Order: sequence, then C-alpha cells, then structure tokens
Amino acid sequence: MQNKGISDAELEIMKIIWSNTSPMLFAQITEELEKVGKNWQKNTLITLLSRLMEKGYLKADKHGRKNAYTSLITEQEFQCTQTKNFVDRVYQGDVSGLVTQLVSSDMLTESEYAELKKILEVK
Amino acid sequence: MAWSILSLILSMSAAGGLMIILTFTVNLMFYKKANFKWHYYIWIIALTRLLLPFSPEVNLMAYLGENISHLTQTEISNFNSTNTSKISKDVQENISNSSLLQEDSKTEKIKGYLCIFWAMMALLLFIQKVTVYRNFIKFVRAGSTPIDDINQLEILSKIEVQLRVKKAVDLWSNPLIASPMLIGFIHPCIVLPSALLSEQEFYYTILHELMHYKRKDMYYKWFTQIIICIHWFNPFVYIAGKIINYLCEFSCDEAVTAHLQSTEQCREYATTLLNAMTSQGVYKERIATLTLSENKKILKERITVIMNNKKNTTVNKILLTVLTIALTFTGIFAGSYTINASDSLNSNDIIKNIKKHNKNDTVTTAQADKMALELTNKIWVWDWIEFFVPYMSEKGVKKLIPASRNAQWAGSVDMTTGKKLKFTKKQINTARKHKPSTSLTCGDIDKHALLIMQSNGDWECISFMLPYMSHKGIRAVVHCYNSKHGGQKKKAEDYF
Repeated sequence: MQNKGISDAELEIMKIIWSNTSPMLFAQITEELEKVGKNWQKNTLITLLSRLMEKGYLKADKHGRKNAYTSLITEQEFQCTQTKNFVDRVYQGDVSGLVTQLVSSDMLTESEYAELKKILEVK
Repeated sequence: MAWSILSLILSMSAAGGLMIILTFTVNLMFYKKANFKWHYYIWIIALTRLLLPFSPEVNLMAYLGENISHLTQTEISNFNSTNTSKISKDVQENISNSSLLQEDSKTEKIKGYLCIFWAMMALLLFIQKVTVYRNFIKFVRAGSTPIDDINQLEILSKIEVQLRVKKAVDLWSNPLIASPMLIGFIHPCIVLPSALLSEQEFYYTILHELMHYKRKDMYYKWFTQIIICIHWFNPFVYIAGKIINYLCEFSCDEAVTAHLQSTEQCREYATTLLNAMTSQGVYKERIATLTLSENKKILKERITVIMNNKKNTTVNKILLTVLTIALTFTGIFAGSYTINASDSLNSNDIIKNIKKHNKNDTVTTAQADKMALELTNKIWVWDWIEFFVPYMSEKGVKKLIPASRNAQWAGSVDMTTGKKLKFTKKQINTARKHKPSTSLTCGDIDKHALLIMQSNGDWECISFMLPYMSHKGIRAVVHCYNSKHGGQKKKAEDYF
C-alpha cells in the first residue's frame, strides 16, 4: 500500500502532518498550508486528503463532525521506502552505485561524508 | 392476486404510454417556445405515472377497465342464467359448473405464470444494467490515474464553488475512454481521456460534467432505467429513455451557456465539444454515464443550441406553467386500474354469482346432493343428513352409504364396539318416503345450518352451505359461532 507514488501536493500535506505530531484537524492543516503560501481551495484539500487515505498514508478519525487526520507512516519509514524504490528503479538495487554517484558528483559535503563514514564503521 | 398485479402493471403501462405520446407531442409543439430545462423535466410526470400505482378513484384506466370487466361480468351472468334455467337437468349443470371452475383455475394459473415472467424479466434486466454499469466503472477506475496537477485540481475546486457543489469531486484520467465522463454516486469522479488539455478546454469540460453532477442527472438516468426495467414490454418507454438522454445533454449545455457570460465563451465551449469528439478512446457505456460528447448526430444540434441560447419569456412562462399543470392533471387522471376483488373471476365468485340471497329461493336437487355428501364426508350424524334426503336425487342418495363409511370424524364409529358405522338402507328409504310438498328453500338451509352450528359449533360442518344461505341466515350462524368461540372471530360480511 505504502509503496504507491505520492504527488508533490500530497507530499506537502504529509510534511505538515509529520511536523505536527498529534492528529490534525482540517482547519489546522489549512492554516499550516497557508503559512507556506499554499492557499488551496477547500475541495482541493479534501480530494488530496482522501487520495492519501486511499493510498494508506493517512487515516481519519471522527471528532464529532470533524475529521482528525493521523499519519499511518513516519517520515523515516516513508523516506526509507521511497529511497528503496529509487535505488531499485535507478540503480537496480545497487546502493554503492548511489553512494558513488553522490560522492563523485560532489553532492556530499565534508561533514555529511564524515557522518556517513561513522555510520558505516558502527555497522 | 396475480391478476390484480398484472392488470395494475398493464394499466400503468398503458396510461404511461399515453403520457409518453402526449409529452413527446408537447416537446415537438413547444420545441421553440420553451427552454430545454422545461422539456427535460416535464418527462418526470410521465415517468412518475409509470412508477406510481396510486390514482384517484375516477380515472381513465379505471373507466376503460370497468367497461371491459363489465362485458365479462355480463357474459358470466348470462352463463349463470342459462344454468339456472336448466335446474331440472342437474347433471348437466354439474358438468358445466365444474368445467367452468376448471377453466377458471387454468387461466388463473396462466396469469400467475405471466406475473412471475414479468417480475423475472424486470429483475433480470435491472441486474444486467447494474452489472454492466459496475463493470464499466471498474474498468475505467482500474485504468485510471489520479490527475496530480495542482492547478487543474484548483480549477475544479473553483468551479465547484461557483456552481455551489459541496462535495469534492475527484479527478482522474484514463487514455482508454472515448469521452470525458462523470462516474460514481457516492464518490463522484470526473474521468478525462487525457490530462493534457488546454486550460480553456479543461475549464469547459469540467464545467459541463460538474453541471451534470449539480443537476443530479445521474439519478434521473437511473430513475428512467428502473422504469424501463419495470415496463420492459412497453416499446414507448425505450423511446422515452432515448428522448430523455438527448434532452439531458441539451439542457445541460443550456445550463452551461447560461453560466457563461459572452458569446465568445459560448463559441469556446462549442469548440471544446468538437475537440472532444476526436478523442480516440474505446470504452463506451450507454446506460448511465454522463459523457461530454459521444453522439455525433446530436452534436450539430447541440452546437446550434449553445450558440442561440434561448430564455423563457414571461408570456411563455405563463403558458408553460399552464401546460405543466395540465400535463400533471392528465397524468393523475390517466390513472391506473386496480381491479376490484369483485371483478376478479375466481371460482368463489362464480359460486357467489350463483348464490341466491333471498330466503325463498329454492335449492336444486344437485345442490342438496352436494351439501348432504359434504356433510356426510365431514361427520356421521343421521339426523342432520335426514333433513336433506327427501330433496335429493336418486343418484345422490346412492352415494350416501359409501360416503358414510369414509366420514372423517369419530361420529362414524360406534363408541362401544369401535366398528365403523354407516347409514342403513332402511333409514334412507323411510326418509325418502316422506315426500315434501314444497321444494327446499334457502330459508330451510339457514335453519338447518344454525341447528348444526348450535349443536357442535364446528365451522367446517356448515361452510359448504354458505353459498346457499341468505344474508340473514349467515349472520345468525356467524353470531352463533362467535358466541361459542368467545369474541368476534368471524365476520358475516366475509361470507356474503
């Protein structure tokens, strides 16, 4: 379920929900979206939320007549599956390919490189 | 039962057919005068007539129906009078009576089968339509991808606000479909053949589909389909379905153009319709999807309509209101004919028709035979049978002794010896010798039935006498029965 693709707009919503730990009400999500300059129509947001629920990223609990949205997947889990998908698709599952690419195209800073090295040593 | 259902459906169908012709005529006559919205919704009257079995007591179908049943009733009473004129030839009467009963039960059976056939066909058609529609939706959804373009979603939401559509309609694309369409009742969804539309085209397409949703055309379409299922044997309903489909698109276009401000916008809308025709998709479904433009034949007409948006003038509005009221009244009074219980031709009614309600009416020998034998079959009580013997035919009397052997109840067994008892020839001959001066009358039967009821209180011992009893006699017997069994268990009127 959670391997289903996610659109940019949907990811935007997920980020907001991840950054607010407790279940979020519709109005709260709208508020947060407005803060990042996304003045979406109410129905657009409803559509996106229901798509996220269908894909298994979110669940909605009734609080009276209002819906409270809770994430069913943590940001880390999401990043993990997305990275796995990415590596599978682009590098045929070869992680070293990805790391080589990152290093050779100078995408890693010195500090990031050191951190990565540390993680590898521990494992 | 079967007959009343059939007659109800047939009369509803006939009245509805009449209304369809009338509505179509009105459509043609006022094609230029009224807007399409009126033309489209005026069909509801005809459809409601086809669906609702209720109507005032005085109505056209009841009038026609009564005329028909009056004819058949006269035939039966003619038949009965010839019957009673041949009273002496009781054997012949017996034969004709029973053959009539047989024939009647046969036709009743056929009516029952017809009724089941009608219901089966209606149900099958409905299931078929629902399955086809569901499968179609499944196919469309399976091949669809949600449209993620936030700009397009925003346009959709803005139009929803404009049209005051509360529900968030989803937006998908599927390259296999022939035309943009709106599917789903609970989770409405607009499916486009392709998301790669210019903003203008996208706007008009969505506007058209959302207009369908706002006007609840989906429900109207299924309402029509249900009526087609019920009246599957009526060719007019199929024609009506086609006309309604056309009018649905025309009036939707009309509603869209009313929403647009300039002729330029109308032209753009018409262009969108034309472009949608060139789409290469293959999925089509004819039952109840609301598409943008699938039918080439009506497209030309639709474009003309879009470019010449007509509005109802005040004079026309008055005319149309009068017309609507007139059609509604015609619809109400076209009525449906629910056959009365007294009209249905079952065996009980034939007995009722033969039955004489005057206490001085005579009872034939054949009838006396029948009653005596019935009573003997039920219970062996010589005194009660003796009453009938002088009035019975020779043939009937001969049957008494064998019948007494097979009597149902314990009265036929000698309580001390346990031996089965039977009537003796001697008993019968003595009774036969006593020739009565007058023939047996209904009044006599009344008294005899009351006597039996008073002594044993068993309804089955007198039930077969009811057809030959007067109203007064039946009342007395019912009263006696009720008093014996505590409370108002039976009503005399039920046996008249």
